[in-house]
Amino acid sequence: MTEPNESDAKLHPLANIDRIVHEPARLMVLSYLDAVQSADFVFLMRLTGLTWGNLSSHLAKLEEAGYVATEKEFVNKKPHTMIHLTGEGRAALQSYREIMQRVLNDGRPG
Amino acid sequence: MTGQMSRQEARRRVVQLGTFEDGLWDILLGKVFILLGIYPLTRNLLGPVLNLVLFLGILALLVVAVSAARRIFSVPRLGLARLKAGPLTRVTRIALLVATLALVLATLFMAGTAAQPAVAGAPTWLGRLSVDIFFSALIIFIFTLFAHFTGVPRLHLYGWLIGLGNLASAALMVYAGHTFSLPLALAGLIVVLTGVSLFLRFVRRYPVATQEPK
Repeated sequence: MTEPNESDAKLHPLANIDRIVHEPARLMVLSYLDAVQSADFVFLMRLTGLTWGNLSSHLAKLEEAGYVATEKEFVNKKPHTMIHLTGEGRAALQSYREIMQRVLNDGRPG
Repeated sequence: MTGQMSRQEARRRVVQLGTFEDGLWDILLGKVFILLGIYPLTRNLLGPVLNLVLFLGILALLVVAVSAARRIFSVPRLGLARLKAGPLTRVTRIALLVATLALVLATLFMAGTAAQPAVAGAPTWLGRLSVDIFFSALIIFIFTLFAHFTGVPRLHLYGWLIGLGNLASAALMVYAGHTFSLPLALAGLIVVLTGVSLFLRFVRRYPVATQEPK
């Protein structure tokens, strides 16, 4: 059994990183949703460059985790679904940012 | 810092896609400057008051037409986003407000100077050009600010094009006796043509998409 060295201790937060947020496509979706009040599915598709199926599956995972929520409304008398980041999603994104910053800044050699 | 940068980049990308991708904003902007370019000519024909009313009426119609075009062509292709009042949008709103005020001031100034001689003692050309130099610099400054915060490089070009167009128009009025601002109208036309080409590219690049995922 070896003792964890200083470098391991600094990288330790990575072991607890939120894997829902860590996935690049979902991180991109969360980052864009953090920048707007709300956006619809097509706008997110255009922004991220993801395909319909891909975005749909990532949004389902984010919604399941409670990080995004959908809201039905009418635009030009047609039903329209707007997607927005929940408080939980914002907190998860912020915590992810902090962990990554800490690891990337402190883990720098020298 | 990295988090902050990426957040700013995300906001910038949202503004670029939601506002500047379809070229409609460029078309509106260019038409406003075409109108301002022919403003002195129509003022001579219609008189200052009727001309101003006509100018504002056409401007209102253009805004309505561009909003309708955005609803008909852009939203089905690009989707919809509601912007948060973050630092970028606040600055963008302030820049828009300043630009609008500058336009209104320029319009009123153009309406006023035709009837008034230059300041007593100062050469006529200096009296006319000093104000136009100020407005041209203001236009370039506003567009530079706007380009910086939105990350849309063509706004730099628009600023110089319209700013120098305005100055050239004033110089031609003073030296060559032109009755309307041809360079400013041409600058506006270039902006409109850029907008039209961007709009055509936009329609080709983004097919209409169904809004509701299953």
